[in-house]
Amino acid sequence: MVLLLAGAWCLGACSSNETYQVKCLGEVLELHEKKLKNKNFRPEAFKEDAAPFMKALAAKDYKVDAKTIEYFHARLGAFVDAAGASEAQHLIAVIVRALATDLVPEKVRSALAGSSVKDSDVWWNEAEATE
Amino acid sequence: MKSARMQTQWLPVAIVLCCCSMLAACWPVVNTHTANFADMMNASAKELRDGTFDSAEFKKTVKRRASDINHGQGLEFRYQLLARDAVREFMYAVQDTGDPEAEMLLVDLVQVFSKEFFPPSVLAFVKDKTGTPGPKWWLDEPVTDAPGNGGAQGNSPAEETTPANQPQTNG
Repeated sequence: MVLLLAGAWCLGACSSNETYQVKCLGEVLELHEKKLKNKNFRPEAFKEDAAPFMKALAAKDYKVDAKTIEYFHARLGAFVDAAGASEAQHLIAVIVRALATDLVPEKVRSALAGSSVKDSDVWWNEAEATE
Repeated sequence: MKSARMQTQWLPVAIVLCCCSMLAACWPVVNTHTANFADMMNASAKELRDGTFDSAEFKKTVKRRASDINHGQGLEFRYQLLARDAVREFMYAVQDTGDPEAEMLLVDLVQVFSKEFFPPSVLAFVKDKTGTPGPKWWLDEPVTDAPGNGGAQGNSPAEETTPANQPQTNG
């Protein structure tokens, strides 16, 4: 038992901060994908939830383990499918443009190819009201 | 000799008990409680919109959840996100309905729970707003506010000295 716990602790400690951020961003995508499906998606809420992770992940080069990449690809793909041609599609296109290449599957990249994204569309660098 | 045999008999029991207590300590009960809190907040938001919101019931449930959540450890991000989203939905319902009592209860919540349950938009909404006047209903022992000291931003001496159900501030 002690060895198992020690092993779990080591695994947790070895997991990088970026891996954690990617997992959390995946959770945010999952929550708001459900909202898209339930027709109660709010762009401002999505932007608020994704902002801290995009601040940490945008325009950086980092290594994330294969399992996390696989999980994130699934979440991203599901969100893009649910977004359709709504405002959510534009928001996810802004995110995709800023993420590391490994994190975005080709299928998602081609699905969002039509969205034009400008530098001024990035929202996560804006000063947060209360933090 | 007899003592050595007794020790050998009790050793497996001690190991099993030790393993059980370790498992219990690792079990993230706080996640379940937080998911329940999120369900409760979502239901309250719906009740506000339907006009069936019961503030007395809300206070009772919040008090129970606070004692479950505020002493738990190992909250996963997934559940924290659910709670934040549910609190935000409650705020949208307060904004849409303009219910003054629900607004005061939302201000109170910031004192009851850890800041990690409140997204920036909710913190911005409650800023400079005043909570429910009178005794702090979320404490075990009713504590009356000192005159002129009400609202989410105040830190009364009662709050500083009463350990029960205090919010855990994480940065």
